[in-house]
Amino acid sequence: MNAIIPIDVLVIGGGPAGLAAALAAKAAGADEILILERENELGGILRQCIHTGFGLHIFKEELTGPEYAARYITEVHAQGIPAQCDTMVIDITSERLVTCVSAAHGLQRFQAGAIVLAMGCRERPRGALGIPGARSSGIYSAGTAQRFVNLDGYLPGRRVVILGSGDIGLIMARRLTFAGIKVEAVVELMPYSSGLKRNIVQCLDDFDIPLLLSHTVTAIHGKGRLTGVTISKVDADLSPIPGSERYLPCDTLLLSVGLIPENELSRNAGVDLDATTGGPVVDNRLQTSVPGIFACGNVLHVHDLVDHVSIEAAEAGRQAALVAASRRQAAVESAVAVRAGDGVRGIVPQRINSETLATAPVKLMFRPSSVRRNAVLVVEADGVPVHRVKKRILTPGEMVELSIKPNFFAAAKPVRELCVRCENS
Amino acid sequence: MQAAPWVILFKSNFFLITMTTTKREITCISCPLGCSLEVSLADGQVVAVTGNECPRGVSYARQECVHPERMVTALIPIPGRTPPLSVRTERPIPKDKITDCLCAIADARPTLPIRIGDVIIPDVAGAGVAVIATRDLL
Repeated sequence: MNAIIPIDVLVIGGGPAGLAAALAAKAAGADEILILERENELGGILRQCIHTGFGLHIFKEELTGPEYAARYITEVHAQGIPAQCDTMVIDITSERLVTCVSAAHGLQRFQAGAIVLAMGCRERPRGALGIPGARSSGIYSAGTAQRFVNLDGYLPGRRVVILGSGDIGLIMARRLTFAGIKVEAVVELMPYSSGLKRNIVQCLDDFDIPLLLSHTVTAIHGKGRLTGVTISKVDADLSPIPGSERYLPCDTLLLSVGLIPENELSRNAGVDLDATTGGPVVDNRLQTSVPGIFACGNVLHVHDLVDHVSIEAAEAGRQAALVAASRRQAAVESAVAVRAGDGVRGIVPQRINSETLATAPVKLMFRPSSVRRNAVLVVEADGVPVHRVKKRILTPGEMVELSIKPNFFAAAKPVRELCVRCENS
Repeated sequence: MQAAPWVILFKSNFFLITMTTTKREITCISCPLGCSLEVSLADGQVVAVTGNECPRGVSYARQECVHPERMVTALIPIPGRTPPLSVRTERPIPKDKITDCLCAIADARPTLPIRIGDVIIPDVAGAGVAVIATRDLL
């Protein structure tokens, strides 16, 4: 077996999170940095996101995914940060020993001073939905179809129904329409879309594609190839209403029904996962429950905007560089637990260093659990409200950022638990 | 689009009688509220907007109903190569030129190597806007 290779900061994944983390680690003084990427080039999911809308926050420009990625990739090359593509990480230990395989190098092992988890997320598959009916071909997740069209150069079918109105599904409705494919309808279980308004207008309304809210697919038809789906209205409990069935002929069904952080490697390393976000539990430095292992981007929690991924990942990369440089493995520090109260889901970070909370602003990110107008977000410290923010609208499709500032708290009293909840004004 | 030959609108701050007003319903995309706007148009100009919760709705309606624009992104297959070349318009183009733009892109036969930002079509569909490559294909 090959010798174990020492690395200061090892970045797992060469998508937007990994690229930004590696650059920030370099800027913070890390010497030996390595990015491991399983695809044959850097860029991650941005490679197949050829639509515009990326970079408005960071570059103040409306870029496509490949252009956004190229800015970071160019900089990674300019900084001389090595990246090894076509490489699959198969194990990470809590002692930060990383095993990977590739055709070029065979089996390799790296001992990392610090690790940045940046593996991204994957799509919820058909199996997670339990739709009854035939096991026909022609059923894909929306991102798979996006890859077929935008990277592999194939069209998935001629007549398409999309289940779920997540942004990838909406974007694909327009892409397929541009390619001459008929998109019959976008079917959404909830009474609202989780996609951006902009995408509903510019990907569906522009092409008169119906968005059927409070509907779902209740049967799949077709031996061999898909021939159609049955859709039904659902009631307030999201149960199909008998008698509301309608048959939609189609040869392709795309699923755009949510994303799941990809954490099998994290679990192997003994990293604690959060059941709500599906990602690691982290502190305000984005360090997981295993010292020296950090997480950022969609492997931590699913983001709406890549700009936010880049910003978060830069912080993870910087912190990883500091840990790697000092060779100190941070001891368990006194931490404030962060809890999601009523109407709030998936808060990140889940722990805040007590000292930091008392001296510097800390950014919390979370999603509201339902659509609310004229809502108030309430921050509570050990059950006592310390801060209130009014919001005209909260929707699960848009992540909320809340800055927790030292002046929220009475100086004398140390905080043990922070809670954010949502109430109607 | 719904033509309403006789429209009388009465609002506390606004009173208008016209014989040529048409109405359109659009969704404002300025923020997640997504207000449903009812836009009254006369001679192609916006004369009234209702349903907006803030002034951005009015400017959005003016843009969207008078000269709507869209960024267009598309793919050009390169024989024998994957991935296909991804391209975009350098700026938004008038919405009614999207089809012409897609047809022009479909007819384009760029030669490799191509670098990100290279001009593929200098002026697409008479819109005065270039189509540029969004990735390297060497």
